[in-house]
Amino acid sequence: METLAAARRAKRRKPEARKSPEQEGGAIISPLVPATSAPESNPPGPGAGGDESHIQDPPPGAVGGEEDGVDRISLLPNAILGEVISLLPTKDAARTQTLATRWRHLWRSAPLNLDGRDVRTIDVVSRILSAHRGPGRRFRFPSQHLRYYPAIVDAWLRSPALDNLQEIDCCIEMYAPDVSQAPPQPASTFRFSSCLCVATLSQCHLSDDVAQALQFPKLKKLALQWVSISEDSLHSIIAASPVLECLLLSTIFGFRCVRISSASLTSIGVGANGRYEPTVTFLEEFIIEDAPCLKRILYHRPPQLPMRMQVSVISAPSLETLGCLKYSDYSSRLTLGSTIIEPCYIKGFQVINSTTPACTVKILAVNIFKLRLDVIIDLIRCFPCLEKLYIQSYKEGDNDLWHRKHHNLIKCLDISLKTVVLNNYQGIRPQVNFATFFVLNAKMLESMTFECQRDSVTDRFLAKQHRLLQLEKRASRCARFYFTTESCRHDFLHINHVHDLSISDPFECVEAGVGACISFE
Amino acid sequence: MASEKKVVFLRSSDGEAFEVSEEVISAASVTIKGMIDEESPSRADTAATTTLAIPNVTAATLSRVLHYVNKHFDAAAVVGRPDDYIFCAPGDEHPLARFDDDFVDVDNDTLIDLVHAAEYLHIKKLFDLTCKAVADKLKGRTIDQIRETFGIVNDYTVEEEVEVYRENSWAF
Repeated sequence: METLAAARRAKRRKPEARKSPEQEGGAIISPLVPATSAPESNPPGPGAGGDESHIQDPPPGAVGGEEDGVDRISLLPNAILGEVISLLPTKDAARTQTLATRWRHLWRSAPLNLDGRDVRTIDVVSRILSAHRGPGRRFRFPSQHLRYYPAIVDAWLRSPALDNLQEIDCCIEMYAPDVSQAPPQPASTFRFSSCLCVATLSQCHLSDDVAQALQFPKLKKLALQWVSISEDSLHSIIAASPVLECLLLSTIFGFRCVRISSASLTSIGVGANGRYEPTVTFLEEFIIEDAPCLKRILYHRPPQLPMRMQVSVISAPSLETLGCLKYSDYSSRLTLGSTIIEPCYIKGFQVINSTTPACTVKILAVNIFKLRLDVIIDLIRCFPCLEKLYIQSYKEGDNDLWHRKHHNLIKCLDISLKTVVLNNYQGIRPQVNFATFFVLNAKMLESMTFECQRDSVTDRFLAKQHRLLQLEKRASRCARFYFTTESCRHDFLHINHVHDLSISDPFECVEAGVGACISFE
Repeated sequence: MASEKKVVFLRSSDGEAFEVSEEVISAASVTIKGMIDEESPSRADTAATTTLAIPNVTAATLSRVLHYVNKHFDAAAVVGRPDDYIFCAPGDEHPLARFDDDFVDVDNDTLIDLVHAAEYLHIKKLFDLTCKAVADKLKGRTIDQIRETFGIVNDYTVEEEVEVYRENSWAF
């Protein structure tokens, strides 16, 4: 047994350690402003700050010049530095002006990435917008401004600084007290419809005459959250977005059921209201009629609240990822062909008529109150090609003597799981019994992760778990067993933003903490 | 002859030649595609391979760029799906995310050479990737840290500096 106190898995993002600079032939490229213009060429805007219209790219050798710390970054052409600056959070971007005179006016002529949450006051947002020339890259502002400062928001959206805006993010910062009085989304929002790639609209009303006249030729990601809209308008928007890949519909009101067909969608995020609102009709039923490219169906749920939602998949032949199914979403239902999965009170999930399993699904996340092997096996039977299973539970099951109870079942169950993640693992007997099932039966297993409580992973604990879990008898010889001490802080609620929909495994905790790994040579 | 894959040679500023599939580099680099298209009438019926001079890119950088290009553009599936959007969240789906992370995990000078090369060769994906890597080095740092990291000399006069700080006081 080899025990490593090591990072659980290779980190995607590495710490920004500076390496010793490797000299590459000693040659230093002289700065060049190629005749072919940079991707963004900014037409000089009218008015705004006449003093910067003459900024030019630096002549070679104008900046820096010290022996070992040559300032190469300042020699980049304006257009490139502008691209870099536009990738920074708003405050970081503005601060670059103080670096040196070379940087003085770059931010104002760079594509604008303005995060109204980063900039606290409304006045500062207005000031930035009036000082910038555009084009607009991204603009984020809290949706409550639509309700309280509609005229100001409208003026913002009309600013030339936002011309050619690619991403609009009207985010939810606080929930409105009364959903039925949603303010209209200003028509000025839609002057960007031809250039928008990403749009999030929240806590607003989209009227039919506005919504049904729009075309979104470039829109790839769309989120509607707490939006009042008619069924026809939603259909019209989806039909007018020919390259739409990610669609997040979370708490839509105005109608009850939607049927979605799209040739371009790869991800759908669905969420429903957890609150009881007797006067409002919420969208609770999603029927995915025909989505040939759809890979993911993800639940976007309000924290701590159960959802009532019915999802039916009629045709999604590429569906790979599903979750997180939650036991407490009573009166919800997931229908995949002839298979029906319903959360239920005692067992957690009830599987009905699983005669045609969903063979394409590879990643599943479930949240179950009581860890029960029979329920998990029922779910696995629905997804015979499942490779990754995430299980979050709160209470250990009854002494899960699976080997007696499920002996016959298991014989005919071919488990293709490669990855199992068990949250809230304390190493007590019922959990051990549950986990041992996978240790002894999952022949393809590559990694099994036990998310343990802080300080619980000691050498003694590991040695004991090694014995109790019968790791020596594991079915998959190459399996690794990870005991991490920091459980996933996201609580499987990774779906917070429409961008999250494009992550191939949204349940994977990239920030998972350190722990120990038991592996075998 | 037609079934064989055509290759071109790219000669770096310091005289080293690199072989690359014509199809792959054309899909990746708008600049080189333009050069090849210009050349093609004159070599339509000759078997000689083309050598293109890339005067602005050193061998060290060019070899890195070609490594990237071969990874990203050498699969029929990838070709023809230009992704013109750069606000990608970390962990966004594309199978080469990890390769990309490692690719830009280099020192500042190498990274800036790559930005230049990507811009000159007009390789949009590489340009976006390297700009983002530069931005990551600026993100969340103090002004002094950034100056130190990149060797930027503060050439403001005291008065100018006060003025620029005052103008942007909301950002501090």
